[in-house]
Amino acid sequence: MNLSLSILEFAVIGAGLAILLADLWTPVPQKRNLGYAAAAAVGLIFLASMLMQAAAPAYAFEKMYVLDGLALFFKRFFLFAAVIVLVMSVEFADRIEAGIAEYYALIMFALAGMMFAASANDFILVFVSLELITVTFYVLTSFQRGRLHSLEAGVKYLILGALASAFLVYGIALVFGVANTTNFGELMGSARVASARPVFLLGLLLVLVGLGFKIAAFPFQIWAPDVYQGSPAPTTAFLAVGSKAAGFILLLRVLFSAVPEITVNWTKLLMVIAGMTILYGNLCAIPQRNLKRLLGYSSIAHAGYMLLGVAAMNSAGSSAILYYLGAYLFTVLAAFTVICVVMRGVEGDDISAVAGLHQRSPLLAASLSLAMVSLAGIPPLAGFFGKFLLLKAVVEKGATQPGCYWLIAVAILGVVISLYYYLGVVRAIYWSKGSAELSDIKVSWPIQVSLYACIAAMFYLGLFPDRLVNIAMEAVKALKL
Amino acid sequence: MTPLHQYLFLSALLFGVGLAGALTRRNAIIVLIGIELMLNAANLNFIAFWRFSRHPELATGLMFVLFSIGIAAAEAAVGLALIIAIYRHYRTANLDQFDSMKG
Amino acid sequence: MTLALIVLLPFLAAAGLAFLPRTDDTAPRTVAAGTTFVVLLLAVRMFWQFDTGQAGYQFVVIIPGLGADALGIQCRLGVDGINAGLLLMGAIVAFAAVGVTRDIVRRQKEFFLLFLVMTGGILGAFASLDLFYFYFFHELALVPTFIMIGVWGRGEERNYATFKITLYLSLGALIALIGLIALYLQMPPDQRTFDIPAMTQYFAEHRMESGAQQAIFPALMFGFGILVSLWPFHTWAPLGYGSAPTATAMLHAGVLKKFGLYGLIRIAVPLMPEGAKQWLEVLALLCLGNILYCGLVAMRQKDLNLLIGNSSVAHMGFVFLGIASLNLVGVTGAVVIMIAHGLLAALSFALSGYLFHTAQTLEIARMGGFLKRLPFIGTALTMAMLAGCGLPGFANFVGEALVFFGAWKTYPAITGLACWGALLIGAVYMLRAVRSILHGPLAEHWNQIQDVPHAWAKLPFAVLIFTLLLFGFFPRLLTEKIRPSAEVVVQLANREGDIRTRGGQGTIAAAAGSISKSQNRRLSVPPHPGPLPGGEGQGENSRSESRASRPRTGAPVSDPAQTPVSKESRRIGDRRSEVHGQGERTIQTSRRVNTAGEAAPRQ
Repeated sequence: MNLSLSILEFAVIGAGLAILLADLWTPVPQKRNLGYAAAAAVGLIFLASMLMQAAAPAYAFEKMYVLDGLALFFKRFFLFAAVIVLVMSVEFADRIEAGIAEYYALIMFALAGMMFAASANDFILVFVSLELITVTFYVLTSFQRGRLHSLEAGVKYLILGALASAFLVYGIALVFGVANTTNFGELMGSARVASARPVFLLGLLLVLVGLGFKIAAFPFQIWAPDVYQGSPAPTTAFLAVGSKAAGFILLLRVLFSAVPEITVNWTKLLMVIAGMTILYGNLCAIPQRNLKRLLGYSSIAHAGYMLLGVAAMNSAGSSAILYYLGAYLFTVLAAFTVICVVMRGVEGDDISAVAGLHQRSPLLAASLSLAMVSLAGIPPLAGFFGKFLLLKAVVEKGATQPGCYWLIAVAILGVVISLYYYLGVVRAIYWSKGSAELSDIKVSWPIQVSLYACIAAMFYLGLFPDRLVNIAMEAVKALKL
Repeated sequence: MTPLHQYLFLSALLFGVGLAGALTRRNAIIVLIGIELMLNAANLNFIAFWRFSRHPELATGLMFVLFSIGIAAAEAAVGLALIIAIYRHYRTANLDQFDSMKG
Repeated sequence: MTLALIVLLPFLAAAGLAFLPRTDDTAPRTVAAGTTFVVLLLAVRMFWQFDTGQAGYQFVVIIPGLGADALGIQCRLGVDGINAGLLLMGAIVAFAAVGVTRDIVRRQKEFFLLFLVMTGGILGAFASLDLFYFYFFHELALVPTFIMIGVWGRGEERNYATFKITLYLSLGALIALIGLIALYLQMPPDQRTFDIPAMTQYFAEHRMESGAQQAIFPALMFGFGILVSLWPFHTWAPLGYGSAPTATAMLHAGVLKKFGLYGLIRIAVPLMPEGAKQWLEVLALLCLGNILYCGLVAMRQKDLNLLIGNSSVAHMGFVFLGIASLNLVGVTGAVVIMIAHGLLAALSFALSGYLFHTAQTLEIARMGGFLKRLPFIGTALTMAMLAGCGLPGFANFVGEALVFFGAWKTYPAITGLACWGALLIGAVYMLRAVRSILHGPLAEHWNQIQDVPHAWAKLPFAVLIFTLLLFGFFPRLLTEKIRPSAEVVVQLANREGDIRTRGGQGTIAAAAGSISKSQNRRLSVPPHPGPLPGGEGQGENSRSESRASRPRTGAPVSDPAQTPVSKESRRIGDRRSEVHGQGERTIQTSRRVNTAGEAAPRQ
């Protein structure tokens, strides 16, 4: 038992509880500022995580919990995301009727769940951490109790999420029944024998259903647009970044750490899922007018791109996913921060609300445009290098799996389609007619800082990718590829 | 003693009934009940597999079930609260009518 | 350093502009003009100091920090004969483009910021010696083009046009990207690099599988082809240029479009000779679509901008033909046309932009008799149109003549049709436009139109015309630089037969080796025209090889520098026969070089 390994998670939980307690003694007008305290606390933990090293994997809780390079990479990822999301929540605080301190605390509990997920080395921890994330998000999505959309998003997420967990648990039960263990390390030893048993494969498939729901992969993506649209903007941002990344780390662990022998037989299945996810997300995004809904569909498409890296089944593919997630983190957070500020008092989050934004606030306009350009995968921003790495991984796979060339064709088609709607947003910002509101938008300094940080990171990752590429390549060594 | 496959059959049946309920019924509460049935089917599986395993002294299955029950309870609590909240708006728990978002 | 400055200055200036206050109306234009002027000076200096007669890369510089070592990506810049002229042309066009931005009155800061990013991207793409950055820099221009056409463009269709141009271009670029990645992955994992010279050398020494060549070459050919408006993927070009603000159209049609052609010459053809053999025949056929079909379409145009746009698409056909010919004359001609057409397209769009600015219309039928009111613009327009017809004296003539002589051997029928298209169709629409715009009666309501007001405003036009004439009368300024580099490309591209024979491979390795050797020699030291004491042995060796190859073939004739082509007083007929002779003999040269190369290792 080595509790000190999970000190970061405990620190986050402790900070969350402290925020809840502090709420009792904080006068009402000051409550929203608790968010800054929360952001500062998480920021400190983020800095502390930079001091941690994971040269060799270390285990805790009967080997349920592993701390290796991959886990540490994702923990830092989630911590950074949470800092920006908390700052965003403070901006959003006046649109939440009551219980803003609980909102902050829930974000931190979800963060703890994500961090545990990053270290999961056992199906029990997979299930528990995933549920910690999901159940917290049921509340976070429906936090604007006065708004119908928010409640509706919550109910939809609840029903589909609970259904997905049921599949997940049943799948884990079947896997456990055959292999007699839930630990990834032990599974790997017994998987070769167990892989002959159809029940075992069925169990794994059901687990994939559960994880596919988390990352919004086709055909488990139906919840994403509605939930993205209805949720409060900070929740959506955290859902898009954190929850999706948690799904991916679990997917990588299950596929390449627990049952790598079986996964290699699933290349075709994964390729089909990736292709369909890309096509579905991009095609459905075309007619959208609601910016959050648009980003919901686009997040489906991005899950598809990242699944390309899974389908590539090589370390280049997995490290590309990590890089892509890093790029996606800053890009999406920048986009949602802008949405959070601009959509104040705008019903329907319509794209027309950003019309003339370049006059109202050049910083917001530039941030949103750069985010769109980065999502579209155009140099010199981070998204381009991520897509480049993913495509490279798939082309590499093409030497042994000719079907990959079809997948590449689909991916290219998807990227071209996505340019259309991303640039549609850029167009709305710079030259669309009929913007009624032309008053300047005041941007508070914490929001400015987080926007500048996101922009700088987008440029940094696009121009100087070397560092993160090396980190990502180092991190995926934890997987059996 | 009842053999393992009978437990598995029962649990598969339970899972099927729950899934059918979750997919076909429109009332949010009934759907939640269906999902709970599915979760319990999985729990039953776990217990049966644990009981019949070669190493019942490793309490993995049992432990999982405890976690699962706890989490299912949390899920149900949040779920019911949500359904009540939305019921106040719509005056119905029919999922088909929660369709204000389209596209 | 020179090259690094040429590429980075526009970006630095753009970054600086970002922090200027929005309300400032004069500073952005001044910054853009100053930056492009400095870049132009640097480019001229680079062109001047370029060590003519060398095949290797010069002015090689690595921009530290950029790139990913783990993947073999490094931002390395350098020029050889092929891209030196292109860089100079890009710098000239960028400078001229700032001079004709009178129509930009709103939101100047944003415009010039995007303009500078686009300029830097274009110059970077041409200067890049790394496959990744080659692509990267080109894509930088995508979004600026999109926004510039959308915000400052003209016409009702500009929304449609800007989406069309962006989607088409990114589709082409992505297809090419897949090809480039596949090319990279053809190397064994421990040797993978995106460095173009290193890749060239690797594939010169190791034969790429036929199957891979047959698959990758078309990806590059069509990918790059879409970027260059290869028929039938050309429809974005006239529409996009018609809607773009003048400066954007100049940069895009003049410079950016040459990127795909440059990629074909630099990467696709020399690295994949077998694929090239197979697919260039297709390219030769498609280029007829450009020359004839788009020529005929241009004839039917009623709008001057669309006419210029279509004619620019048609001109691309000649370059394709030159590349498809796969011999020294043809490829040299292709590069000359790329440069000449860049200047010409920029000049044409600048002129049509001015006409639109003063007359508020570009409908050819509505204009007439403008020469009376606009003597300067009218003269310039006439010259541009004549250059477009391929009139001797302009650089375009040199390139087109070289291409036709080069292609004659390989594709006589296609060349015949292309000649006909160039001479007849081109002349018809160009001269018709000149007649109906400049001559005839001047309608009453045109009395308010005004010629270019002062000398400063004439400068951009004058610079472009001067360069066109300069390269037209002294083509050896270009051809002498292009020849050695084009020779390497042609040798690499024609090596298919040689691989079976024993000696051929040595030659190619030597040819590619000379690239990397002279590059290594340059690497450690700042740009310097002459030979250097350090590493003299290697450099000398590679040069003595090429020297050794010359006397055997009767070198003086194969060297355009010493042909009388450049003497302007010659009559056209004479000139033709001489260029022709040169063409034939140079083909022999490239064949015999191989025999010379066999002897080379023994030296």
